[in-house]
Amino acid sequence: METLVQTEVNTRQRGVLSKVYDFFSSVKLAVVVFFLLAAGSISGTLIEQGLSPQEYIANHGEKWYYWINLLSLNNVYHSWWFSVLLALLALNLAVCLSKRLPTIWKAYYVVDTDFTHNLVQNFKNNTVIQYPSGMEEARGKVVDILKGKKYKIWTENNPNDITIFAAKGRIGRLGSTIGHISIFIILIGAVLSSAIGFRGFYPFYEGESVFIPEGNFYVMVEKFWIDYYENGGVKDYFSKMSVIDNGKKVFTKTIQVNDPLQYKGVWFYQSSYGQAWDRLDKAFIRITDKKSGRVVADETLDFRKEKLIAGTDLRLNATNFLSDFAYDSESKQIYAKSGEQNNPAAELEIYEGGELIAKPWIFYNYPNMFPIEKSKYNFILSGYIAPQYSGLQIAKDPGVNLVWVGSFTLMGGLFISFFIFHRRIWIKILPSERSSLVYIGGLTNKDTIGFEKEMKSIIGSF
Amino acid sequence: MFNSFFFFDIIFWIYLAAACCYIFYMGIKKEGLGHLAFALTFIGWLLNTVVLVVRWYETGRAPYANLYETMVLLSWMIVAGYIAIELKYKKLRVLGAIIVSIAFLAIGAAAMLPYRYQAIEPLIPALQSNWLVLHVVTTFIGYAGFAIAFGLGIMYLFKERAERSGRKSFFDRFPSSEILDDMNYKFIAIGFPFVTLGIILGAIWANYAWGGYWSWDPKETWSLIVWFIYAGYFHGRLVRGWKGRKTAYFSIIGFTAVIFLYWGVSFVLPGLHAYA
Ligand code: HEM
Repeated sequence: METLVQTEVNTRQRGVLSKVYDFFSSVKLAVVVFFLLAAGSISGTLIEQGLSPQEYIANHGEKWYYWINLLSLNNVYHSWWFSVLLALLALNLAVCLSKRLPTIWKAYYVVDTDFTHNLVQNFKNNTVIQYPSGMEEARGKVVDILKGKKYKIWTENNPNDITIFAAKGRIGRLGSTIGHISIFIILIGAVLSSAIGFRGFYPFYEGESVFIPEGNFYVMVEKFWIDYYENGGVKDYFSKMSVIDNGKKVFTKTIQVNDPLQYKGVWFYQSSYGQAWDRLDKAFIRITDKKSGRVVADETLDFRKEKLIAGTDLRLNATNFLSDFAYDSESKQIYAKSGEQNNPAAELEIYEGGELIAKPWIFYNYPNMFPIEKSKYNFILSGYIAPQYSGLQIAKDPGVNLVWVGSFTLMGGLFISFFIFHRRIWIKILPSERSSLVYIGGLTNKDTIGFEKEMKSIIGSF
Repeated sequence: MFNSFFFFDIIFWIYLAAACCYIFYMGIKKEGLGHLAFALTFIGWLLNTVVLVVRWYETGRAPYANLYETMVLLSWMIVAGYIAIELKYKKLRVLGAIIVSIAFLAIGAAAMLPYRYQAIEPLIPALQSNWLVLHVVTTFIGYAGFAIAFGLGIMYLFKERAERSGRKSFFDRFPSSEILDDMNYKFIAIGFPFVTLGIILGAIWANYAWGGYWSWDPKETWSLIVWFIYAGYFHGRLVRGWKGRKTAYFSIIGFTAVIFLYWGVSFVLPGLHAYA
């Protein structure tokens, strides 16, 4: 009794399990997942990605924003459902492969020498040829022809007949498996990339050495320059970079767009350039007398270097700079709203008679907005020189190597699968009065038209 | 005077004439007309080659850097593919009626581009790379394969309807629907690996230029969408046994997505590839 119940449970369990197995190995699922991934990707190109909630509400209205937010349509490619689809694809691939591998292996290895001439006549491509001499000669002829067509041949002499099996291009059977495994490899590489890969953008200023924690060394941009076309368009830009490891300069390379530098697995890509948003080379300050309006001095300050102003008891220091000054009233912090030179402002320390009397921000676009009460002078930012930075993308990504390996084998798999066809030919030679009958039949896994041509040419060669 | 635009204008008219000859040949069945159509196509293709070479000389770089140049390249590849078909299967001459027409439409579309898209512009730094040439050439072999499959898909739909009705029709000279179906698969099987290679080369290049092999910009994303559509085609066909009309529709939908990837994304959606 007990065993009976147990068996029943087992069968039922196996029923459910095999249903789950069938579901995850089905190609129908693959086609559905392709469709959903395509549809999801389309939504990500039609709805702008990564905007702020306010922008979505302004563009689409509150009601749509509810859905956009709910379905992560503002960040499709990193949303939970897109990841689920990709994981489903990977699972589908793995289960499907494990199920089909034995069949594919069999198709690859099969050598079939056990068949009758009736079976040969069942193939779509089949003929009977009357060959005007004995069976052995007929066999020799068949083998010659098939060898000429690069077939691999197995023959068996039976008591009453001769069996020949010939095949070529059986590696074509493995192409699809190689390709599918490759996709699995690429997916693993992509997961590694996003899990442990690192990528960031940094501005480099000439002469500054910067510590790279990902590689435990320093790099420095020694020089940055731009080449122009005659029409003024930017032709290319370059950074002469050196790597400093263990206090020693180990090497120097001039990088440009499309020509990066690599050291200890960390890559440095020239990706952009621009004017600093948070520092200066020089600030030009005009000092006027409040009462008379007369210009007292036009001074050039080096960034963060105090300077005595001749003929006065003033000392000035330009301590900070922002290219696009903005103030966040909540956190009470100032910051640069953008890298553009939209609202340049410098912070000026003013010492009069040896004492710091004020530390105002002065604005290039709005001179004299906030006069300094304690001073008899006005201070105007009349100009500035901001240094140019070289924008480098820094990346360290071990996953990328797996992606390339997978890509390479994927291409191999596709070309093998699409351009090498598994063609098999079954031949039976039977005796006939003073001659022999050659039954030929063939099958191809692809390219039926090409195979028909080849069969015609084989038959024509007798 | 003998600049690339001059030869471009000539191939516009020659391809038009060739396409018309093929279409008349379908109806009139005069072999002479078929020979003429093929001769025109071949001359057009030679001059198409001249356009590319002269353009190369004029720009001093491989001429595959903007929409206009790639359209000339695409028509060159489609016609090359068609000439190969005609040399291989002499009896399938009528296929030119659709395939040469597609090449003509590609040239016509390039001709309609505003001048600023046709003009020779110096390359921006990101495009100064040998990867550009590899990436573009493989991608466009793939597109040409899909374009030809698209033409075959349309012919399949006409032919299959005519066969079902059993009456005599304009499409009698088309190859049988079975052959069209088989060739449809064959050209998608050429297009798919090349487009895959194009995507991979693009990723290698992006990684080499920017440090990231995939950034989901609209062009990349659409190439993936196209890739999924054709992957769907293969699985439907090979595993689920779809044949005939279903796969013909698939090849038409797939190529429509290619056109969007190629033109729509450049003009409708903003992104990294906005220049080409
Ligand atoms: C992104 C993912 C995939 C791609 C790009 C892909 C690509 C392909 C291609 C190009 C073929 C045609 C090969 C040929 O003509 O010989 C094919 C065949 C096939 N695929 Fe996939 N595939 C993917 C995922 C899957 C999944 C998830 C499954 C499992 C359900 C699957 C199962 C099959 C099967 C059974 C075949 C039959 C052909 C054969 O094995 O010879 N594929 N695939």
